[in-house]
Amino acid sequence: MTALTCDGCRELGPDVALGLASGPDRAAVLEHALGCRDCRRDLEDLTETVERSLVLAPRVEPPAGFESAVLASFGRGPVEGPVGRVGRVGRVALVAAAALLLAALGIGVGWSVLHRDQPAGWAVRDRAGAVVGRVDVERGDRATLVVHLDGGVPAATYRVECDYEAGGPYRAGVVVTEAGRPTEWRATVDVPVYDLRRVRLVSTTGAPNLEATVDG
Amino acid sequence: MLTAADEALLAGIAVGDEDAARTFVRRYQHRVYGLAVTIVGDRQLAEDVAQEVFLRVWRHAGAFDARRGGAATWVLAVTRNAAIDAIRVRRPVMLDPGVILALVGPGAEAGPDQPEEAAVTDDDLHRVRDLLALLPAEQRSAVVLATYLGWTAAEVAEHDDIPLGTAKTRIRTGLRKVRAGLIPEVTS
Repeated sequence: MTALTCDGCRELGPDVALGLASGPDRAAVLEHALGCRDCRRDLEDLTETVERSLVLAPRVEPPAGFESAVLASFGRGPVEGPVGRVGRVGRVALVAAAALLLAALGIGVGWSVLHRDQPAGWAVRDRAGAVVGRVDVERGDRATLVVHLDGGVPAATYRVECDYEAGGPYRAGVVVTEAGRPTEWRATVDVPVYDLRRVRLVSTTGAPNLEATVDG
Repeated sequence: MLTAADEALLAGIAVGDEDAARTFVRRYQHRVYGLAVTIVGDRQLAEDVAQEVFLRVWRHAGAFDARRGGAATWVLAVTRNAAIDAIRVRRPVMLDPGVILALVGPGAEAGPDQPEEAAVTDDDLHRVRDLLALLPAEQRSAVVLATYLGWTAAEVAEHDDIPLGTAKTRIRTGLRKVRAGLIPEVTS
């Protein structure tokens, strides 16, 4: 790779700041900037310009239950350090709109159904029917839905949707998988989980959907 | 002072303080969700993106470096990256660039104020909007599409039916003009 001049670095700087540069161009710019204070400053300023320009987006009221769903996700697992920290277990995201689910199901559906047999250990299957994970329900002060996916599941973002006897689908949150890493996702749900009939993992990133059913 | 409060919140989040996290989410949810909606153009996907953003903040608050900019700048940059990742996977469902330009261009409304964080970014908001308004329309369009949608020069060229080199020049020149007005030049 030919070393960049300052002119070359300045020409490509906006592309790098915007995240539009090719891999080799980006590497060349960063390598040059590392040893050139002026170009490094220029690149930092351009990046700051891009980031500060984002303030123009309008503020929009999120859907009802958004805040509680976000906060619920924070209760799961330890806070991680910087990306790449040793010992990180699969990157697991988000969670559960317990309040939304309660509201959706209404007062008439209660906890009495918890006396039923626990539908633990459902197999999660891909479209071809291969088992790629498991859904468990842990019973405690509140029921917890746990989705385990093995490391063979591709890197993707899945929306977790639950179908109950009372209806559905109800969105329970979002799980993010990393290629080659097993994933465990859990959400506390204030709903009759024993009425669960199906858990679907609907990809928002183009990966094949996954599904676990009571008969599965 | 508000910036310092944001830094304190992020420091609290970094050690697992859920009260700090709650305050931070309340303070920024309108901005994060608003930017996500602007970029992905789909409210359900935007909700997923916004949730992912706050989870990233929760998990990586310790990586926030106040020397590199304020919390608002950081969290919006995280949002941009997450949202662009989401729409790149979803394409070829192409967003209407006119919608984006109308949302962030001259004369656009900022949406409901959130008093706690409005003062932090309002100064930037007016300066950036004024600086973009000074650009020739074709440069403004190219900069906005590259900044908000992550459009490459090739995509801008195809959309505007112009040579690739012209699209690159519009993006680069436009961004440099905004930078010149936004960040004071420091002579070394």
